Amino acid sequence: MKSRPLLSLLLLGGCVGLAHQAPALPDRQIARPNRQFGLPFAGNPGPTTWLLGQGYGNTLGSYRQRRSLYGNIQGIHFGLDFSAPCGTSVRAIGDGTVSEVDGPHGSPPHNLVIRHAGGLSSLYGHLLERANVRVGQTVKRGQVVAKSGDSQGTCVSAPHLHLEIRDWSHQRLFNPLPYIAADWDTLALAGGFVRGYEQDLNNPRRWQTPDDQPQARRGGPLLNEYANPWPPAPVGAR
Amino acid sequence: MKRLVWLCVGLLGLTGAATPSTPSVPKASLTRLTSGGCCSGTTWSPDSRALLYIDRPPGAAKAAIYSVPAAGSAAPSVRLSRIAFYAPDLTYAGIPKGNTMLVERLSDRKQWTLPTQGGQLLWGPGGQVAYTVSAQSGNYDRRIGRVYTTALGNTPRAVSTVYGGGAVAWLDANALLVSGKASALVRNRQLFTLDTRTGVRHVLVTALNLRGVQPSPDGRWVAYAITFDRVDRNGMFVQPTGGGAARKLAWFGSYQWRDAGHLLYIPLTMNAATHIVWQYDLNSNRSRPLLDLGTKVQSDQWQVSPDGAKVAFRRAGDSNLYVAKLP
Repeated sequence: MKSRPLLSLLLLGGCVGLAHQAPALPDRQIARPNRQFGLPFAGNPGPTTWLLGQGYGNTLGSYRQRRSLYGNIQGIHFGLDFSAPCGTSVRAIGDGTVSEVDGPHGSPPHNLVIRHAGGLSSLYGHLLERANVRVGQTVKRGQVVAKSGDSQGTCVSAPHLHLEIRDWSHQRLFNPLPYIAADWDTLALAGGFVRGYEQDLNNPRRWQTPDDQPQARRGGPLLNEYANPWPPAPVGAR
Repeated sequence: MKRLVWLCVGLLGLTGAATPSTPSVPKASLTRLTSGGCCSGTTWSPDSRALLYIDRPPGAAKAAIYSVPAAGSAAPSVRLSRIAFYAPDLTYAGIPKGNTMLVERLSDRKQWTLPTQGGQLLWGPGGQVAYTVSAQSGNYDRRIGRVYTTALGNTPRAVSTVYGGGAVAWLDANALLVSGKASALVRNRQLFTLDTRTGVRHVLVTALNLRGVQPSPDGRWVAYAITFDRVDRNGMFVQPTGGGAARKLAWFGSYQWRDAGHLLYIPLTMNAATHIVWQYDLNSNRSRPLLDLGTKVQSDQWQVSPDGAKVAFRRAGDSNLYVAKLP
């Protein structure tokens, strides 16, 4: 029986490797959003603890970086950002199994992926240090799995946690809001470090609320390469 | 200065701290102004009688700036066919043209071109504008930003350089409120007033994160939030812009000036059934609940009318625009 953990690890590693090459999971294998997950931080939001930062989707900030930072995922912000001081305890949003620690998914300097039921995984990005969990480890919802960091690596510039909900293949990315039980309307009062959504003046009502944001697929065409954008991106932004 | 102006990384601050338990609060009588979920980026008309927003309703030939009466007495109609950055009093329009901003005075269509390089215009008194030209790459809070001012028709003049920030608002005809770091590698950013004639700075506060900086309508006070600094420094503050100590407030939430003496705010109280608008009185240093909206605001989109008599908001759930009178 001693070999079982190692075997599990090898099997899981193999599955992960295959998943990177695997086609996107079809809708029938993806759990419907039902507020089945929790927030990645404990306690109340506030000026000392954590605040909602950038929303998911067609944000102003992602539009300005649609061809660069977000170009591989159709130009949108494919996760949620939570502002928090470096070192804030990050908690698993649901029961699952650690599938990758510092895998090839960006969000440097460190990231973590937890595989959940229903074809879904959660990714925790811009972590302060390598997560103190191991691949194959079972985790419970609310369990501390990592520490938040800073996308700029300074713990001063932009300290935040980037949270994604993906399918197991890592090809599809979903709006986390309907999956996570939280008072989003109140959290949004805190504003974000990138406020609002880019408008396509040919269709200015589309993708203008937190609930109405598109899914994204790895490598798909840009969703926000608008012929008539508002506001225009600053010169040099791409 | 009535309108809100945001730091480039700015936000309305909020928190779960310290708004007292809510006594009986008057319930808002809401007037629904729109249908179909339009209305992001809504602003009030200068006379407080209508709300303006970008839209292209079904069947419309193109997008425009629509207006809907705050009284709910008529359907939305096109107010401005050209989409642009308009001054709050609707006397000027800023039209982005590549790396410049074409400024047009609406009364006579006289135009000026400013080399803003994507920077947003801050409309000041007497036909003055300010803008910040910022680097577009590199560490967010180390990007250099050069603040320019000009009276339209004159050559823009660089008045300040900051890192990870820029001009926030005009306080009066000769003073700007600016936020940013003094050099790229320092930890903290500053919020300071800048005399645009002399270049003299007066630092109001230094902190790790300054959010939601909003001057009062008369420019004499500024409200801001400090976040993720030392625990004893974090929170919501008001401070005289002409000198004087900051006053730490007992609440944290999404806030807007109602007039020169009152801030309205919605506390960051998680899982409350509805959003309640509170009022903080600068003179008495006290808060009281003003109005229970009976629902929740979507995406922090609420706006106090310039005359301070009404509040408009986009309602969570149906994404439509509603108005309520303030007590």
